[in-house]
Amino acid sequence: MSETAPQLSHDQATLVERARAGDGDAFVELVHPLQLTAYRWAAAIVGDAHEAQDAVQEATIRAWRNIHKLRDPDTVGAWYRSIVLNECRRSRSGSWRRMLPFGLDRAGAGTAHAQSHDAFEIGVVVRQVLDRLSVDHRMVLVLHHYFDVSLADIAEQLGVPLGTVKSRLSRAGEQFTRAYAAATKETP
Amino acid sequence: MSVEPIRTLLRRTLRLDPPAGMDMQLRDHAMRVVRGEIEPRHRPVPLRTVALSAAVLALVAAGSVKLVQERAFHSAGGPPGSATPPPPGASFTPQPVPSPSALPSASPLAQDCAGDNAATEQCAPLGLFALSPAGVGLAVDTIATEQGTTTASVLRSTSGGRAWSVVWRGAGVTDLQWIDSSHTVIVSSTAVLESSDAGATWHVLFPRGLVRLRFASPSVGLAVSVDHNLLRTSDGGHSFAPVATPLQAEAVDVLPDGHAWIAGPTGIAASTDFGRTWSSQRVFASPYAVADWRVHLHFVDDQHGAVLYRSATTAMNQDGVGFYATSDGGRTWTAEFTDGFVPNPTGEHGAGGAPGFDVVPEFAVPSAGTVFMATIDPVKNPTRLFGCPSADSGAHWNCLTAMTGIDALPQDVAVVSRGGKDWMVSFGGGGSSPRTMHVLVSADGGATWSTPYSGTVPR
Repeated sequence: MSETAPQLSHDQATLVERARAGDGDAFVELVHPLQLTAYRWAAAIVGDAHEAQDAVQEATIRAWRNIHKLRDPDTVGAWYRSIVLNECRRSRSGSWRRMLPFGLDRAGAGTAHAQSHDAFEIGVVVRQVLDRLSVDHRMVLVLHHYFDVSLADIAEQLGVPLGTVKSRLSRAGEQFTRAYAAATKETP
Repeated sequence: MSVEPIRTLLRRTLRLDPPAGMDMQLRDHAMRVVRGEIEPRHRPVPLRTVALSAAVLALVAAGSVKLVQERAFHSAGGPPGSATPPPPGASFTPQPVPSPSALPSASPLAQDCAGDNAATEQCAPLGLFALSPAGVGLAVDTIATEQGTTTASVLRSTSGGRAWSVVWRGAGVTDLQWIDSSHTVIVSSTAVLESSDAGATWHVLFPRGLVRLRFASPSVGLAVSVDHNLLRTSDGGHSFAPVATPLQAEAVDVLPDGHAWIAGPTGIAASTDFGRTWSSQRVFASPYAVADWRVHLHFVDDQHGAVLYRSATTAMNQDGVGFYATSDGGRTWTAEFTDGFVPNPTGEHGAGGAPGFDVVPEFAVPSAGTVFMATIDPVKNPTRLFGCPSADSGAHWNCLTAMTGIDALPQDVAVVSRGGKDWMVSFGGGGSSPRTMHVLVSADGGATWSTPYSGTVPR
């Protein structure tokens, strides 16, 4: 996991060992530093603060029940986020309709992309366009473009072939671009 | 618009900062989890099925429900879905009767795999392979489409696996069986299809989707419905009736002598009368989640068999496998591994450098007491296909690399052992690249492999 590969300290390897042996305090100490990043991933994918929190919490339960299966301390971050992604796919909302955590960067208004829209309008359009993508497409799009996760890492975390990730990203990009262009045309 | 504007737009407009206090809320939640104060929200057993079953039990008791049998239109001469009464003398264990949803519902053109259905067995990609007694091979490549459905290509080889041609295309296929050297059946999410010319041509046998179908003879067979109930046919698959079972069925196997087994999330049950009556053999303390697991069940004779539970999704390390074997017909089931890892002390390593693998696609029972398993480790060795023979019913395994450079997922690999040879067929690739297919065969228990076919999936 290149994007967040932490230097694994001796302490962390010990934490993994203790957690695997059933030490709850060690598990919390291990997982807590991963939770805010996981929350941001979930928020970007499910589009709702409460759903995102739910996804992270359900993933935490699942991680605790499956901690004995984590054999490699190096992969604990990727392992946890991968569980969060799976929870995002199960999320009932899967849509952006109740998106709460989006603020809009008004300071960004007036740039090349906003000549005929203020930042608020752009934000609304982007939100609507993402809403139309499937959760799989949205996941790949935001993970790669927003969080800079490599396609290989996305493939590994989702458990799908690299070719599928490439194909999803390509389709998601096309759909996003087409819908965004159409939407901005309608709102001059 | 090029890539950069999407990235710019997302980064300018997405604000994902957690609300104040989120950090501590998540930490508190985690602490309550490890103290055992919080249970998962997602329940393994679909409540809908349970509720309907209860409702139908009440109706059955009131005598107001009649079991309706469906007859396939090709043989009955009537339109699809025309109902015929149960044959006279048909006897079914009267209760508890599965819900009407146990009977396959009207077949849609394609399985709806959106939302909650996405992780179900009917919606997962899958590779299947079976050899006829005469050596004709059938392989199925089921893939997920961008539209959220599955689509299958059925491939046939009469040349020992060297050349393959497409003989059927349609909705996703979840089971495949040779009944004899000319009759064979495939089970798709929309219909059961039959061939009487060794797989060259296919016609509809039963116009509804099922999940599994195993025949003990050309007439008697047992099926698992899309709603996880057990169905039985005594007319070669033209009609099915529900069978009462002590536990939910996900996989079924039946032998020509009438011994049968089912395995589901809560345990394993057996029958000695061609599936008419059942009794539990093993009940698990904690059930496997239905939606996430595919169950494999194979018996080589009435004493020796095994059950494999594996995750239908293969995201890294999330779920593993459970493997149970018996050498006394199921009176005792030995849990050879249930912690999600196949122990492999002598061979190559899987996840995390630890000796073992966390995902196993499929296994075969070559002979009494032996097992042959295929595995891919999607985390550490995603491009290697391993063959794992066991000479002691799964107590010890010796996994060796059979092939490198593959791009397959675990569920895309199928295994068959026949006549002293072990076969593995893997499908892979996809997305923007063409699907690939590799056919491997070993005559020395997995020590060396030849590849009769290695290339793209024929179109």
